[in-house]
Amino acid sequence: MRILLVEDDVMIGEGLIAALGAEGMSVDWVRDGAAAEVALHDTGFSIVLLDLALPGVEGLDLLKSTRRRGVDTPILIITARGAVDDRVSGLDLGADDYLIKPFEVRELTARMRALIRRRAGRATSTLTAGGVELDAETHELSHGDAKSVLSAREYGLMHALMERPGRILSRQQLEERIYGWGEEVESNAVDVLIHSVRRKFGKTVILNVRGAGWMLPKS
Amino acid sequence: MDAPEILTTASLRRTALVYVTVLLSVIGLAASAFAYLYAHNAATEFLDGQLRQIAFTTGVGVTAADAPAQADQDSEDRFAVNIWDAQGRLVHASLPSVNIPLQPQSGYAKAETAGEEWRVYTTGDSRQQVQVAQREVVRQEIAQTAALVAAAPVLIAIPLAWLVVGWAMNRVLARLNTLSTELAERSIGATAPIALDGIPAEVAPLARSMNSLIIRLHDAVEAQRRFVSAAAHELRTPLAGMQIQVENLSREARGAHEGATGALARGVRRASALVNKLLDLARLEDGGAVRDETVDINALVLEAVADHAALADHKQIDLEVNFASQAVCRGAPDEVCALLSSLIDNAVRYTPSCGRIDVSIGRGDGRFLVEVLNTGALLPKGAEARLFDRFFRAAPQESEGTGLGLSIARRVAERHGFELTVENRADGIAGVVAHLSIPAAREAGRGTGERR
Repeated sequence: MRILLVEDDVMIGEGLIAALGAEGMSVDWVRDGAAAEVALHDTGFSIVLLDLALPGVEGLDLLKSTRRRGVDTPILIITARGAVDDRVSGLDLGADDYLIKPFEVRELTARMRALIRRRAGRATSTLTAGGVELDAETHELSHGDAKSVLSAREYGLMHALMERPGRILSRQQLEERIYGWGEEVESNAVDVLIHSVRRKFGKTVILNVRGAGWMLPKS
Repeated sequence: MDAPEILTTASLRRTALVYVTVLLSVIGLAASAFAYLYAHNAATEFLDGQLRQIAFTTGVGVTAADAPAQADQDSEDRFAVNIWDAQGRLVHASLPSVNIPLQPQSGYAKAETAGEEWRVYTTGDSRQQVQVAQREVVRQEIAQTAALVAAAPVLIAIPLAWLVVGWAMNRVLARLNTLSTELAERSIGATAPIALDGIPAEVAPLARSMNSLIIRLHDAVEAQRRFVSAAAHELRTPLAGMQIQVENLSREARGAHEGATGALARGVRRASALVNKLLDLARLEDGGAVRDETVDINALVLEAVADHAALADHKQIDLEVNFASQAVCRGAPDEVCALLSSLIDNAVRYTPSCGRIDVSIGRGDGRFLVEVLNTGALLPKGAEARLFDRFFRAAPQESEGTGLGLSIARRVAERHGFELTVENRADGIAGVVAHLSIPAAREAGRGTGERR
C-alpha cells in the first residue's frame, strides 16, 4: 500500500514512516507545498495524509485544487488546528477525515484502513470496534480468543453497536435496528440477546450504562 | 449623599428646561415690573392733568345721580368734585356719598376716606374753593393691566418652550439611545465602527474615541486569537512527534525498557491533555460571542457518558443515567459538551473502584438541572472554594488530571448563563455532587440548529 505523507515536521515525518512501515505500508514523504503539488498529480496512492500548515502554501488551498482536478484519492487531514471551523472547512473542501495532533498511531491507522475500505466499496466486509471483529458475510464474531458464529438477531445487535462504536444506543434504538416494522418484540428481547452474546464472549464485550443503554468502546 | 449621584447623572433635558424656565421667568418679571412703573407714571401724569383741568373748568353743576352714564362705566373711575363758598359751606358735591374734607393747601395731595385712598387736587380763590378727587386704585389698575399685558407673552412662552425644548432634546437623545443600545448589544469581537451620521456634533468626539477603542480592542482580541492558534500549532506539533516516536519505541521495547516507554507514553499523553485543555480555556477566554444554536442536553450527556463508560467499566463503577423527556437549551453544543464531559470525567476519576455514579437530568421552573452524584471521598476542607481555580486539584497529585476541567466547566457555564456548583453530598452518603442549572430554551423547536 503506497501512502503520500505531506508533512513539514521532521520528527513527525520520520516517526510516521517508521510506524506505518511497521504496518507494511510504504510512505512517500514530501515536506513543502510545491513538492506536494507535484506529488498530488500522481494518482497511484491509496491514501494521502495532509498537514494543513505547510511552508509556501495553504494546506486548504492545496486540498481544494487537488479535488478540483478530479483526484479522488482519500485524503486524511492531520493537523494541529483543532477549532471547529477548521475541521468543518477541511471536510467541506473535500477531505475524507480529520485527525488532530497529537494522535495515537493506532487511531491513525484505523482511520486510514476505514477510508481505504470505504473507497474500495467495502471490499472487506469486516467491522472492527473495541477489540471486536464482525464478518458481515459469515456472521462470525471474534473477541480476543473467542470466535463464534452469531444468530441473525445477535448479528443485528452487534452490527448496530459496531456501526457506531463509542455511542450509547438505548433499548428502543436497538429494538428498531434489530427488529422490523410490525414485529412483536418481547420486553426483555434485547436483554436476552445481550446475555447470550456475553455468555459466548465474556461480560466485557458489551458495555452497559444503566438508564442509557449499551455500547462498544471506541478502541 | 445624593449630591454625587446628581452630578454624575445630570439630565441634559432637565437642565435645559430649568435654564429656559428661569431665563423666561426673569424676563417676564422684569418686563412686567417695567411696564407697571411706566404705566403708573404715565397714568399719574395724565390723570393729574385731568384733575387740574376739571378743577379750573368746573362750576356748580349736576350731581352724578342726575347724569346718565353708560352701563359698563366703572363707578370707581368717577371724579368727586366738591365746591365750597367763601364762608366754607359746601355748595356742590358731585358724589354726595364721598366725603373728603377740604385740604388745607392748594395743589395735589393724597387723602383717605372710608378706607379708600384718593388723589386730590385743590384750588380756589377768594370766592370759592374747588376740590377734584379720584380713587388712587384707578392708577394702580392701569399699571397692573400694563404689567399683565407685558407678562402674558412670557407666561405663554414658558410651556411652549418646555414643549419645543423637550421635543428637540428627545430627538437628539433618541439617537443617543439607539447608539447606547447598539453599544450594549455589541459583542466584544464586533469590528464595525459606530456610524457617526445623525449623532449630535457635540457627541461625535465621544463616538469617535469609542470607535478607536473598538479598533484597539478588536486588534487585541485578534492578537490573542492568533497567539492561541499559533500556540496550538507550535505545542501540538512536537507533542505529535513525541507521541509517534514513543509508540515506535514501545513496539520494540523489551524488559526494563517496557516500563520506561510506558511511563514516557503516559507523560506524553498527559502533556497533550494539558495542552488541549489550556487551548480550550484560552479559546473560551478570548471573549467571542457564544453561538446561539439548539443544544440537546440529553444527547450531550449521553455523549459525555459514552466517552467515559469504558473507564468507568474498567474501574467497575456502577454508572447510571436518568434522562428528562426532552431537554433543549440554546448555546454552543461543543462548549456545553466540554462542560458536561468535565463533570463526568471528574466523577469517574475521583470515584474509587466499585463505587457508584448517578447522572440525572431533571426539569423544573423553566430550567433543566443536570446532577452528577458520585460516591467516595469528600472534598477536603476549604477545597470547595478553590475547586474552579486553574490547576487546583483536590486529589493527590498521582491521579491523572490537568486541574483545568472545572475551570473550563465554569467558564462555559458563565458564558452561557448556567449555574454550576460542586459540593459534598448533603444526603448522608460520602461523595461529591455537581449541580448544573440550565435555563430552558424559550420556545421548543425554534430554528433547527445543528443536528448532531
